[in-house]
Amino acid sequence: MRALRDFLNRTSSYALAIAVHVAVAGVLTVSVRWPGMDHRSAHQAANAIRATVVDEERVQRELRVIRDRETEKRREEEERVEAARRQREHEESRLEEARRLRRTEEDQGRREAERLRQEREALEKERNRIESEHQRLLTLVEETEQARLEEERRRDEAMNARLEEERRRDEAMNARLEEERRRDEAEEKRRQEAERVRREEELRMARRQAEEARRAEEERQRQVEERARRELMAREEQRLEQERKAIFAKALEEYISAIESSVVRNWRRPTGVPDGLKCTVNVVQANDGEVLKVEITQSSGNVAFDRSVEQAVLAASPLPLPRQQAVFDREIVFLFNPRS
Amino acid sequence: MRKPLRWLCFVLLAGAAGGAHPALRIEITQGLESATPIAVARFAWSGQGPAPPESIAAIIADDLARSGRFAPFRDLPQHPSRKEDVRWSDWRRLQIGSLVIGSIAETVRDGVREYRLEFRLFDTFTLGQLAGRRYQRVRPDQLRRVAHQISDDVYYALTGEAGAFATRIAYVTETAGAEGRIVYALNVADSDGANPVDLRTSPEPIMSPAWSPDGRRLAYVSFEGGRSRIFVQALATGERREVANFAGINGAPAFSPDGRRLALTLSRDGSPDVYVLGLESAELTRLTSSPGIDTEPAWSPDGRSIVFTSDRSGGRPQLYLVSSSGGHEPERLTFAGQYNARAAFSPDGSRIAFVHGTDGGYRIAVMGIEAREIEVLTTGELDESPTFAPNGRMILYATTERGQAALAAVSSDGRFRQRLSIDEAGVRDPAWSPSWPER
Repeated sequence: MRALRDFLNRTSSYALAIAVHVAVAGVLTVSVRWPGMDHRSAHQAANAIRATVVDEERVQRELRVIRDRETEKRREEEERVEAARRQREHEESRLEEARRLRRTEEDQGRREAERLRQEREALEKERNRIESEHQRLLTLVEETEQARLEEERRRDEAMNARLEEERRRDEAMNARLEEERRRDEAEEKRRQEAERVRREEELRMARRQAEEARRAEEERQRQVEERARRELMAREEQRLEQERKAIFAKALEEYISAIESSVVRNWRRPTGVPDGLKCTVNVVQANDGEVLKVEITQSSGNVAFDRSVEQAVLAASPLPLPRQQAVFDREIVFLFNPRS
Repeated sequence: MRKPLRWLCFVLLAGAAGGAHPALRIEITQGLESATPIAVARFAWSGQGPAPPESIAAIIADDLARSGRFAPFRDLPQHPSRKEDVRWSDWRRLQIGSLVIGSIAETVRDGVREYRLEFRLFDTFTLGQLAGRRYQRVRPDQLRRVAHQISDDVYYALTGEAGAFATRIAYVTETAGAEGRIVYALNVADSDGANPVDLRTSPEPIMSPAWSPDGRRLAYVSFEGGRSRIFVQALATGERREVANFAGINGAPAFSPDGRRLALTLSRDGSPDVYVLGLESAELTRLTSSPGIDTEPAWSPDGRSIVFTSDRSGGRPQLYLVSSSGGHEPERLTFAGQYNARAAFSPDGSRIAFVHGTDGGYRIAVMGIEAREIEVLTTGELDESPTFAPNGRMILYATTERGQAALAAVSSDGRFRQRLSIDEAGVRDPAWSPSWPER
């Protein structure tokens, strides 16, 4: 038993499991195929098992161990498989026994059948139990696998989710970038639009300013020209006036000069009179220059001098006439003020 | 040609209603200084016999010409004697502004020929009569004097100053007499040198005639008898009186302005000094007492001062001023020149004329009694004995022409000089009378 247990222990859990399965299947098959076997035979088998109660206890014990083990943790799969093997071995031996017994007891009749049936029922029960255990184990394995797969799946899913997440993140990023790009583009476009508008506005403003400047310049030019024209006219008038004045002054100067030289020519300044004598006379002349009146308004105090003055003016009569009638003056004041 | 400065003050078209019309103003700064043109037309004669030999018009014209202030026109276009005969434009055309016309008519009163003269002076531009006078009962020997009086009238009318034509001059002549002896004569003539009259002739020198203020007497120095004496002689009667016959020199008599005293030079107390002699009282007052020569006293017109010549300063004659009452140290008047002597006061007392001697000669100069700036009037080499005309306008003096002593006159401003036409040679010591005594 121990060697078997070792052997079993040495085999892999899966192989053992498979072997158990095969064994169990064989048993089942045997039981099923067992000719003449009915409910009574199973009942008999169960009776047989019951006949070996001591062993049963051991089995039970071992089953308990297995169960314990299983209940402890199903991690000790080998133990549980060993327990199963051992149970199967035990079962086999017991079956062997039973068969021997049956052959011995075949003669016992119904009791035996009963027992067999009981046994069969027990076996069936056990088989159900094993089956359920197996199922449970299978289920466990499957569940484990499932869990693993599920884990893997979950991992994959997580991976995928992560990838998806990343993808989404990328997409979001891209979307954001796109959004930003679009925003930038929009911004750029808006900016360009604004720039365009601004440029247009500037251009318009510039045009308006240019227009205004042009108008102002035109106005200024007009004013300048107007001013220049006025100045020109004023200057022209001034020039004419000055010319008139100059002509008048020239005529007057000539007139005065002519009268003066005429009077000087006719003046005999008397000798023997003191220096520094002055005499002022008011002279009235006719339009033809004839001296009508000579009045001494400021005497020199010297008879000879005064008289010479009076006679000089009278001797110059008729006084020369001006070229321009405008400078003619009926009244002339002469100051005789000889410079010695 | 110098452009005359002229000032013009135009108040053109001031338009001030009611205001005086502004007149053109013209200043005349140039004028030919010249003697005033004048014409003296021939005086119209009316009488039985021939016209008197004297041409009144010529005497007047010569008088005016001699003053240097008039230029009598000689070639007259007409000789009107009445105003209505004057063709004014003729005279104006000739620029003769003054025209003298006149007439002389013979009248016989009690078988004596007399003349009636009248003259008129016209301004040919204004046609105004400037002067006019009628002289009645003019004896033939008074014709020249009347002519000179007309000259004075004309002169006064045209210059405003008294004329000095109707005056006389006294002078001494030296002529060669018989047997080669020199004859000295004291003469009086009209101011134009005409009508010379010998007051006294002497073989001894006669010197320094001096007029009394009334023009009726002459004082002079005569050496008759071999020594100098001072006589005063009445012109009208020829009566004379010896007033100074002191020992030594009796010289250089000068009547005081009041005619009652005589300043003279005497050397009776040694060197010649200036004294004042009372003509009535014969009182003698010594004014100077220098060891040098003090002589040639001349009274100021106010009679307070006497200018005399003295060599008291370095032996050179200079002029000094002293009070006529004495008692003061004489004040020296002249400093310029080596020789300043023979002073005469101008009638207004403002100036003295004297002989101013420099290296160039002896000339007549005048000096203001206040300013004391010497102005030389003549250019001769040996001019001496200046004497003022009573109007102060002319100075008569003795000069030497071609070695002959002669008389000449210069206007007191020095502008006009003229030699007096006195035929006699050797004329010296002229003295211009104050005025015509009989006027």
